[in-house]
Amino acid sequence: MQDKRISKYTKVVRIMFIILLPLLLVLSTLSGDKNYGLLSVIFMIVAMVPFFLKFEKRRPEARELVVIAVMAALAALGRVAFAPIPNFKPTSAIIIISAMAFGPEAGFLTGATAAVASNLFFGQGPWTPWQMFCWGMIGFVAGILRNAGFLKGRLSLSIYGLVAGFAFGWVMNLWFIIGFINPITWQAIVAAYISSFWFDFSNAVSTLIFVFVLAKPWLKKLDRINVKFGLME
Amino acid sequence: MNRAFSSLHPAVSFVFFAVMIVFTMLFMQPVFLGVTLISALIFSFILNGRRGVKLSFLVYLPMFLLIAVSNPLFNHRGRTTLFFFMDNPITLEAILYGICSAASLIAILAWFSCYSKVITSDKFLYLFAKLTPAVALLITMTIRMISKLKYQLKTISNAQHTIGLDQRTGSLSERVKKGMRVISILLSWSMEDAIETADSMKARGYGLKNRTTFSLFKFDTRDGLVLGLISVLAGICFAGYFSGYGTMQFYPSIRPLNLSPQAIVLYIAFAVLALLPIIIEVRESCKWRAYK
Repeated sequence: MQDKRISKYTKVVRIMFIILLPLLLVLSTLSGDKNYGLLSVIFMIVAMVPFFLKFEKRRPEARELVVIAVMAALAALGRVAFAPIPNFKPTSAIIIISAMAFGPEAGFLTGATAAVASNLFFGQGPWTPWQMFCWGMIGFVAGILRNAGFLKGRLSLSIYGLVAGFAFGWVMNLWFIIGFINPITWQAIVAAYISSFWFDFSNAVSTLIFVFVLAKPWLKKLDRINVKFGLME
Repeated sequence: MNRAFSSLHPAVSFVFFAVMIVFTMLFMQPVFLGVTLISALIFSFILNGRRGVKLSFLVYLPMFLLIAVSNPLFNHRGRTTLFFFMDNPITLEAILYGICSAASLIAILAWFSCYSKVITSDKFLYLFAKLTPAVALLITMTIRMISKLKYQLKTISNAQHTIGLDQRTGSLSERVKKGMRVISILLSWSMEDAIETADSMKARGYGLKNRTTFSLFKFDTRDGLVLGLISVLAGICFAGYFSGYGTMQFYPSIRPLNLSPQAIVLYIAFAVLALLPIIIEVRESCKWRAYK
């Protein structure tokens, strides 16, 4: 019975994707007030539904849940601990490590959950789905690259950390532009990116440093736990 | 402290917050934004007490100024140029738009802070456990894990302190080394602990079929009435939004405020909707006083 309900769910989601998203675009164009903030948040939420749904459909074991919860809590706690230094945080690095140890799905969930949990301290808002998506994607892509055989060495991991740090800032800039700048012009976009450069830079460098320092010892520990308890087999 | 609005059924309060946050994002018009901002701030004062006032001055005010200033700096559209800043025209229209979008942001923040006071994690789990059991449990567990990790971190650094490895002393490289040691202990400890938790969950039948959950929430007539009221008022406001009352023209020049009878009815409907939790709170405390 449970499975039937969930497969009905999948159908609903497919319909949502095919009808709801274009419909929203049309409605937003027709109402003509150029209010893209809410639209973008809805799109972000809908874009994350398949990931969560897939996890849900798999009926995850309790062990998988707690492992992801610990990694997400560490990532969130790291963000809180380093809050005094603007944009210098180990969150992305911990998410990348989680993805390297447990795979793309765990990486996505670690990132998305860490965003929700850490925003309890920083304030929830319409940016929560954006952050969930960005951090989730950092983890997901890291996991996929791992499965494809990349990111083996410390150097390539650190480069990925640097790129991911910048990408996170650049995508989150889009949220700021869509949500708070009107009219959206090229000059405004360029100005926003230039003024955020040092924040993005600090985010990227911190991710690089934390990946460089933490990846080797943490992955060793997580692999040990993987073997000891037979996780994620 | 048990508040009147918090004692409503979680679905009702969740719908209320969802509606208010969506409207705050949709409306770009001074009257609506003022109403939502003021009622969100009042409600957050009621819920948070003195902390709410402190929060609004330390966090909300600087943020308000930052957003309000950034729009006129990035945007130079609008007819009324007030002055030039580094050769860029600063226009009245861009400033007013910046103030409106800042008000919208602060109102959203304040509504979310009320949300986290009213929708506690047990209510969140109750609402989403049927829809997405694993994800709802994952989020709740992570939130619980953060406070547990904090406690474990403190225990570890106390233990390290007694064996002379306090990470607050020594040169910088020594401190980093000791800090890494603490974090590495934290990782192993919390992971092994978590897996024990998982095994214990499994032993008690997590994920088995036909398991029931227990909750204390009951949907009674009062919840139905409030939900009905919210839906009617939200319906009116949505209709108003789609007939163009929710937004105002800012560029190239600002249009005067719409004060037609329909617009005023909309303003009142939205004000009643936004003030609903405050009305419920005040009514409850008046009753309480009358019975005393």
